[in-house]
Amino acid sequence: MARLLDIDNLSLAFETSAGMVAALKGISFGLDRGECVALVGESGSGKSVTGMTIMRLLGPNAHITSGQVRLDGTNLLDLDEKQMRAIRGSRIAMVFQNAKASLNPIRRVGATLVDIIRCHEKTKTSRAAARQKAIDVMRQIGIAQPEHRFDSYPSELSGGMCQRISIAAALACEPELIIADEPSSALDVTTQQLVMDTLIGACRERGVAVIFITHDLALASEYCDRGIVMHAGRIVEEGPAAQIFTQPEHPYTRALLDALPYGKTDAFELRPMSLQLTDFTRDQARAADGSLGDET
Amino acid sequence: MTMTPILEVTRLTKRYALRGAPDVIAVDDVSFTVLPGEILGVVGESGSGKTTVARIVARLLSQDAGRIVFDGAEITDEVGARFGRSPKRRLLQMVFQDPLLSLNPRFRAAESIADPVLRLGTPDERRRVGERVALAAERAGMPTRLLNSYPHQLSGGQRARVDIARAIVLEPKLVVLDEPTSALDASLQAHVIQTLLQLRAKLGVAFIFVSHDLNLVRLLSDRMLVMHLGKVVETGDAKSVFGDPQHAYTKKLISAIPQLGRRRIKAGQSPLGR
Repeated sequence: MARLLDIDNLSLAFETSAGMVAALKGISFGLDRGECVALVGESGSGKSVTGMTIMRLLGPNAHITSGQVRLDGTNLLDLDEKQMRAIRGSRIAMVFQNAKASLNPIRRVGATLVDIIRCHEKTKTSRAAARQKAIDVMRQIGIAQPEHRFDSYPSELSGGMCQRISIAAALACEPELIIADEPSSALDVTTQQLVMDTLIGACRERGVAVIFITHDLALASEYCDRGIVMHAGRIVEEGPAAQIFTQPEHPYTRALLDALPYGKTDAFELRPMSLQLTDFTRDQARAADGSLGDET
Repeated sequence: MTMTPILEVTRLTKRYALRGAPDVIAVDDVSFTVLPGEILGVVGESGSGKTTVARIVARLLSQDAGRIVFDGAEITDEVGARFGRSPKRRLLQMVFQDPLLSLNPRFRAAESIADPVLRLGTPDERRRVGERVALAAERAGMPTRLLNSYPHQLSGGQRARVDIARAIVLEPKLVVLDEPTSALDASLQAHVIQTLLQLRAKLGVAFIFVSHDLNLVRLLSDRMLVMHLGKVVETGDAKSVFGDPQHAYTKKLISAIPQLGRRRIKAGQSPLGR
């Protein structure tokens, strides 16, 4: 049986005023049904771009230069916008970092959920049935008094509650895959734990696969089965979460760990990574004179 | 040897009025001191009152009760524009959470850093503003070649550095930082906190570092103040508060910090209790 998602030699470049900037340089990885995979790396490593490419949410300045993104064998990159709309929300859903910004500020959160359900369900759903379904999903992921929350505006809810509403929105149409892009990075530790427990718990329960994009290796190791480490548009290491985040093989993964406060006793034990590592324009210059090697 | 604190906050209280509901007591009888050159970490969840304390200390917000003494002078009644005219203003600066919101989008980095000098500096400092800006940028680790950029042209880490350079350009005695690293990735966080420690060593400046990240605060601060629902629930030497927390709330905060190699949810398992 084919894997749920198969990304094969995917390369992508952005057209900018400074020329083409390669953001993904031939990445390949796959995901089984119900599997939870962490995509980690520093800012600019290409992890969010990967998520956005799977969802086909990038603007016209993004050019896919090679590769395929296959969902159940179908190459998503071949689909037109209309076909893609049938995939988004209903088969692959997304949870973004800033829940407050991803919810419509002038609509009650319940109305947003109803819209999503009515828009993506395969069969026509009445407004009343969609409302009931929205409330059920909210209750299932542990939102207290869902009937009451249904009528709230995003501005009336806390950041953690907004993020749980976004999770409800992502789960509402029973997708097979959820891409969660730093869903808890803007939250404090206790809320982060609640949101992650909600997201991963609900996905485990339903057998929904997750691509969890984060720069927090400890968080990735707590919730995921497998980890994929990205650096400057390439995958540098991949392996079981239990292993890759505690005994990494690749120096870059080790450098990511060295920059984190876990297990350190002094601030100067932290080893920030060189800021030049992800300077893409420099990368391009080297590519131009033919000496583009692996950055170390 | 006893040092005179640079900041003494006594019995600070702040209420916010809500329509049709009892007042929210955002800060409830909070007292603390900061010594010259000391780094005080203030930790707690959203809603614990830590940002309100930061804004009151930086004199951006008035309190309902309490007393604030800074650098030997009582500044309890000097808030906002009034504190702006105080000779103490230049000695107490603030760094905000979101540099994209706190930097003027129409100012180049150099103009933002120069602003406090032009507004609060002596005539001599104003004449030599270029030198001050270059020095502050260097101290904050901001590359000189980027000083002509506008905020939107800079990365998150560079913006944070402009914010820090602006706060230290007048060589203040106390800088209040409200979640300056929350939007940054781990590597940039490490850069910023090491920069702060270097600035303390070089300038003897004291910091109040407000954050929800105990794991980071523990590495940066000398002392830690744990806030919960407006009250200080625990205070002490940063490493011992983290290593041996006494209050149940502090224990809860620490246990919520993710740990490398600890599994919270495995395949086929749900924490939602069904």
